Amino acid sequence: MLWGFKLELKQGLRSKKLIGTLLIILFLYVPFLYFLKEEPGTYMSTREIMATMSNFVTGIAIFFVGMLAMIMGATAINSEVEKGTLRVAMSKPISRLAYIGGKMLAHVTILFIALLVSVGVAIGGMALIGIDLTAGFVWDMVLLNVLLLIGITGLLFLGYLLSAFIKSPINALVLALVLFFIVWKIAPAVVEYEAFTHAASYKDYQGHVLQEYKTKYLFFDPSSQIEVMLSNMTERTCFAITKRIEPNGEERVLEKKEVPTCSGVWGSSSYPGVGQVIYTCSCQDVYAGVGHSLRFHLVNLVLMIGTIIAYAGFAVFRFLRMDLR
Amino acid sequence: MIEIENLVKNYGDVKALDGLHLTVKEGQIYGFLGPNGAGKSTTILSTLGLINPQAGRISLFGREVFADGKYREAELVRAKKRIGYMPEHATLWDFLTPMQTLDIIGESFGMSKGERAKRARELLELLNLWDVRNKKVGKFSKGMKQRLLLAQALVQSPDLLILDEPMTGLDPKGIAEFKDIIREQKKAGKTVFFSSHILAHVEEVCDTVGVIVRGQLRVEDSIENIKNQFLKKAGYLILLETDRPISFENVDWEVERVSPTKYKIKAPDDVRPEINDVVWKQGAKILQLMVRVPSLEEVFLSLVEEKG
Repeated sequence: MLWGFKLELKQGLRSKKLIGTLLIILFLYVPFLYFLKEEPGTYMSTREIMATMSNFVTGIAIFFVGMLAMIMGATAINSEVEKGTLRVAMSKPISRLAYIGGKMLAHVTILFIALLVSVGVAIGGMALIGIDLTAGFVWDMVLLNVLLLIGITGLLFLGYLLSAFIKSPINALVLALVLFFIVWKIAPAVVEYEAFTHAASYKDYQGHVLQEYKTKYLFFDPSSQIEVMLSNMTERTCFAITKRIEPNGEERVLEKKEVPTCSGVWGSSSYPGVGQVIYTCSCQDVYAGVGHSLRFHLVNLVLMIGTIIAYAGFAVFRFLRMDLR
Repeated sequence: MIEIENLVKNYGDVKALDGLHLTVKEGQIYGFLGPNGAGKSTTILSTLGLINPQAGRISLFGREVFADGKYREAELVRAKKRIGYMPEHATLWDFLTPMQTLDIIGESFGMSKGERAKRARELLELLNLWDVRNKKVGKFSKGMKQRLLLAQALVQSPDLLILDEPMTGLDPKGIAEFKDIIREQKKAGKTVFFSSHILAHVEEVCDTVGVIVRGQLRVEDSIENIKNQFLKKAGYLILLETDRPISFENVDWEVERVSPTKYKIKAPDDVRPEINDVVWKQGAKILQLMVRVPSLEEVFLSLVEEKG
């Protein structure tokens, strides 16, 4: 098994695709970190910055590393058949299963390294611009990395599936990119539109209806499942406050209680001679972490792992039976 | 070494192998001939388990590796330890150097690091690649790549060497070296199964030839026997030169007078003794009497054109 792994790892780590992707990611972090540097204490709290960074890391990873995964997968088998290197490799005393297993493992390792660089730059960059990092945030980033790796592995194996069925590497590559944009942008947009038209309110659309739709209709797309899994990284806490403004203009808080939503709990009443009673409500998004979000979406995690097994299974099944000519 | 029985492989509607029977014995240098699309590469790829035939049986080193429509993976892997294969139209990993290539190939055979380094040096020196041992394969010329492909096939000193069109892209010097290596293999008691379009090369190095046409083996024998069979079928062409003109009467042969004393005689058999009698009876002397031996190319073409 290690034979195919070693060979592929050597090839993958030197590939221009990987180096190019990492350079783009690093380049994109610079303005983002610069933007965050201006923020602490002005508009965003440190916790909000952490949430923003988590979302940025996720977006960057899904797009760039996800695309890299699809490209690597889509040309993994067919290009080797075309070049003839697979015929040389498989004429040696190695079983097909061991070879493809080693190759897949090497590709997953390469993606892991790409993600590690991305997350490492995020953590390092935040420390560099002087944001206090809690142990919880670093742990969250590790968890995020694992989740992203699982999701992106799904895209890799989807690419493998294409590579096992489409003989021409160019055709497989084009189809992989089209598919990537369909599952990454077009399909979610359609699902979001559907969710919007079926949602009872804007909040519903933003929240559980969209998550439900993505779970139901984009179950095959690991990147959508990751988005759902990370959609509750922040927790919204709303407080309804009843204040009275005395005739002399003095303001007194009568009651402050936590409410699930601010909908319908604000307004004011005037009582002549007594003053004005104002009902206000304010919500704050607090960073609660990846683990917190994941707890609500274990189904999506199971779905994602199931999809990955299915993609890998079909690709391997096909590879074991295909003619290597 | 290789026994193939009734092998069938279809690519869609195209019959690549149509009940192929083939036997390669130990110590043979077996030339596998056939026109384009006859099924040469398909036969080789099937032997190595690289494509999946629909039916038939393949045995390697006396052990069955394919039967009942499927390969026996463990047997196949075991057999491959003793096989060296040089594919047609293939390249090696561009990002590796020849040393790294042979090292990684040696690793697949479970050779130790020391053994791998020693063997790599031997092979690279043998194939004149030692000076470029640290250059990336991607920068190699076609001929250098071919030589490295041969080197990778020889890494574990295989008992059976399978070569698919191995001399394509080699210059005359490379071809001569290549033939020497094949002869060395024979001397060492190894078996070589060798497909080629270049009949002159096959004739020069092979002792047995198999000709495949439309997925079936038309003939399999020593080159000499094949030529004799051809002569029996097509007739003998005998060249005669005498010191004075001869008259051929009451003979069944076709006689063509090339010059007053030179004749081309076409007969269904080797009639040299009878010609000798005719010339002797007329008191003439024979300056030359020989059967024109057909080239392998002629034999090959006649076999290919046979049955449409």
